[in-house]
Amino acid sequence: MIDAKKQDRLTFGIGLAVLLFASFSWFYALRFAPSDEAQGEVYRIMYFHVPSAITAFLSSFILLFFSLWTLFKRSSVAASWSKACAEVGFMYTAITLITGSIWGRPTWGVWWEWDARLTTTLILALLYAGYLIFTNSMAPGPQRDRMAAALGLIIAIDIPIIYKSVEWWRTLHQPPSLLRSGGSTMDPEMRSILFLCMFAMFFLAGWLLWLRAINLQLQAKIEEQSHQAR
Amino acid sequence: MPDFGGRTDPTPFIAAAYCIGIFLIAGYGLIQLRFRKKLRALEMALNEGDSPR
Repeated sequence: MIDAKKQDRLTFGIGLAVLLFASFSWFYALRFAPSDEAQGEVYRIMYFHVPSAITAFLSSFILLFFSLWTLFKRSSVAASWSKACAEVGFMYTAITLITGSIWGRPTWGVWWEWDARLTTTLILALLYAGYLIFTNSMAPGPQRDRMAAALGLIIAIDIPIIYKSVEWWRTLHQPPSLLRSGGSTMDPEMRSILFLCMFAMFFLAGWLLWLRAINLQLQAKIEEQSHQAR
Repeated sequence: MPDFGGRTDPTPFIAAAYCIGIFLIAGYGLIQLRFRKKLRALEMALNEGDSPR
């Protein structure tokens, strides 16, 4: 019990630290980032929107990893990490869509447009939601874990499509400005602040992912214990 | 939409985007922390039930 208390205090402490780091990055972006020549101040939504989008994509790759682990090693621990990835990924995809929509209104004049980048990101959100509905509706066990793992593989396929959508199709969404041939077109100061916000968001999402995964494992342990006690 | 010297006032949009994002992230984190507290209480109750008297 002492170990459990120490573990929970450590969990809370790390959470507080990453939240403070993330809060500092958002404050810095809002207060000190230079204005954009074309968009003025509203572009500052980028410092929340882009890190959220990349976090949502990263979640799907981590989900892919744990899905493969579940399939080949038949691990229930990997299955709990997979479910945590799907939840965190879904949340960050929703944040990406919402902040993108809010940014789009003053920039493009519309809340939503059925262009390739937005539509494929919406598909990602629906895939995550489908994964969660599926895992919550089936009885826990190896069969559910394997079928969920197969779904996890499909989700990861959408990510390169989302990334390349601005190059493959004519879209309203701007083309890549960070990872592109010929180097980044972004102002160096803006780029540095964006990287700061990205790392802060990665740490925050990583903590949420870890917390959810250990909660799922503790829940499974308690369920097994109470089942044995009967 | 509110006018801001010929351009749209960006403040409500920036505020809405950041507030919604932070609300969702903080809300999820708090839910998980409370859930962990409940799980620990359940675990303790189970362990006390298992221990010999």
